[in-house]
Amino acid sequence: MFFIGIIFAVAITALLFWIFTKGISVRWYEWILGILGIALLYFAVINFHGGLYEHTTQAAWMYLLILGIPALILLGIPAYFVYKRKG
Amino acid sequence: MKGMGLVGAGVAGTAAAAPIFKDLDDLTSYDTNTKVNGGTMFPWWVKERPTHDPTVDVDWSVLDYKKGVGNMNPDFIALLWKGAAAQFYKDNEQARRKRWAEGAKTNKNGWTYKDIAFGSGLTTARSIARTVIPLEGWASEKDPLMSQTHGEYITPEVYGAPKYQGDPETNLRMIRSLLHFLGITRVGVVEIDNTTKKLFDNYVQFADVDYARQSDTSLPTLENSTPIQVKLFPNKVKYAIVWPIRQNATVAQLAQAQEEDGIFKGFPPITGKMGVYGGYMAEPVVACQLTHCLNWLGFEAVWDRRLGRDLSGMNVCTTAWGILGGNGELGRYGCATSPLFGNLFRRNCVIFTDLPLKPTPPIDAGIAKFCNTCKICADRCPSGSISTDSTPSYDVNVFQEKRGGKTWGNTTEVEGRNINHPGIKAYRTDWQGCMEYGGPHDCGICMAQCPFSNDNDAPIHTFVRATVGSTTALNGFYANMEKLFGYGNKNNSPEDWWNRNLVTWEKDFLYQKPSGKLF
Repeated sequence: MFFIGIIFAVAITALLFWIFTKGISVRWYEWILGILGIALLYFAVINFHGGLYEHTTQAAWMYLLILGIPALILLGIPAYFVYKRKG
Repeated sequence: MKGMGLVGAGVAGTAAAAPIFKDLDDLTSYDTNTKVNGGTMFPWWVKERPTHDPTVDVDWSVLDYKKGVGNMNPDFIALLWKGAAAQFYKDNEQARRKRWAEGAKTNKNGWTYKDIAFGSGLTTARSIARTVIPLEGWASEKDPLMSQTHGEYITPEVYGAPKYQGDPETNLRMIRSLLHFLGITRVGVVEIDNTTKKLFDNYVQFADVDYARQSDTSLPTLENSTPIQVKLFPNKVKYAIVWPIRQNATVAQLAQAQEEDGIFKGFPPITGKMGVYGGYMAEPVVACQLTHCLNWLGFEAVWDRRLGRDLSGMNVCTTAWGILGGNGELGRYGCATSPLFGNLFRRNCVIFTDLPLKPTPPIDAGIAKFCNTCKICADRCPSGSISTDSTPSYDVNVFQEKRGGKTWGNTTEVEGRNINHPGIKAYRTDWQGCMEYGGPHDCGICMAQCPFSNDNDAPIHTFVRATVGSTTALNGFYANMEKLFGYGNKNNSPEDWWNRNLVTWEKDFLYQKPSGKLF
């Protein structure tokens, strides 16, 4: 769980660094969707990890599926808009 | 040198800032743990209830263990005795041996000979621990109730020390501190008053005696075995210390019926029973240590098992004491359910003492309400012995020979008698059906099936438990999700458990899972 947190922290820092250094414009609702997406993705991953650790494999994959897919959708929407604007 | 100076300054600073303990009492009263969460030692969503008022309705004018031959259920001990002599019991034993032989021969996953050896070894160790430790440790063979205090006793006075004195809250903190060292993360206290005295059967009588001991009086038993000596309890014994011995959740998850056909149908692998056997083995060790400590402090301490008709002890309904002390709620399956580890109570253990203690009230974590809608344990009970009703009731199950098609032999004394205590509005387990099937010895499937029995590594469990403790709105949804996500399914392989990575595995424990992981 600790290392998952570290990985997420590094990834988020890198993402923010990239956004600000490249001067990419992100609208306020895209920030909200992105934050919600990252939070949900983190929740999915830590529950996936916890499920595996509990030896409940099916539950672990279900967490990844049920929480992870909405998380990717939430992240994908702002990413798509930003990409479209930039492109 | 500069580095050393910095380190030295750091150490000195830390030492200056750290708390200083003058003595043991200072250490045990260091924090205010008894005040945290109102002293329940549970998370915020677990609420306290009024004294003697658990989440299931109890009619204290009806409930009285003296009205039946004592045990966890009136006449249940008689059923056990009758059952052990009955043909169906011998048939069940034969069937068990057949499963073992077949498993060992075919090296069947969960039934290999190493599983049999491990399970049997733990069971044997349990029997030895339960009988030898108390005899050697603090009781005399002539009088199993006599504690060391009254034999070769050691009390503060022997050392010229003043009699131990502490206020009830400090004493509770001290007991919790000791048991926590042994891995017990939750300790409750029930006051013995006119209400809770109803939880003792006829074989325990309160009297103006100095210490607990057996009287010269014997009372007959329903099953017409040897009459049992009445135990005299000092009136000064006012408190029951209650603590749970847990089962290991990982091995409990292996206790699933994996076969649809054949001789293994409906029976969990032996590997899944290790937590049961291990819990029973740990219990007397912990009880022995706590009892000794109380004796050294100069107080009476009687382990509940000493109140039984033999050294295995079965006369105290420890589930009731545990629930009244706030260790859990009465679950659908008929025993206590913890907010943190569900039905994986191997036992609520009780030690009766005259050490003044702060009583802890029953708790409400939303479990009893959750049981109304969940029913997973009942649906998966292979013998159908757990009620599938949607509302609890005061009705009890009644013993009737051949109700389940099994022959018990001479049952004149128990025919038509209650096999559950009247006076409790709850879901009542049909112990006759359970025993006829081979349970709980050959089964125990209900324990791991409870959604509260899941381990706490996935953070969502805490989220779900907090919601259930706060509202009933999502109970049905959560019960369905439990099934959808495959908890309690047949996918867990006992052989995988044998081959777990011992370098990284943190889930083995003898007494209980260490604290800090619970919530």
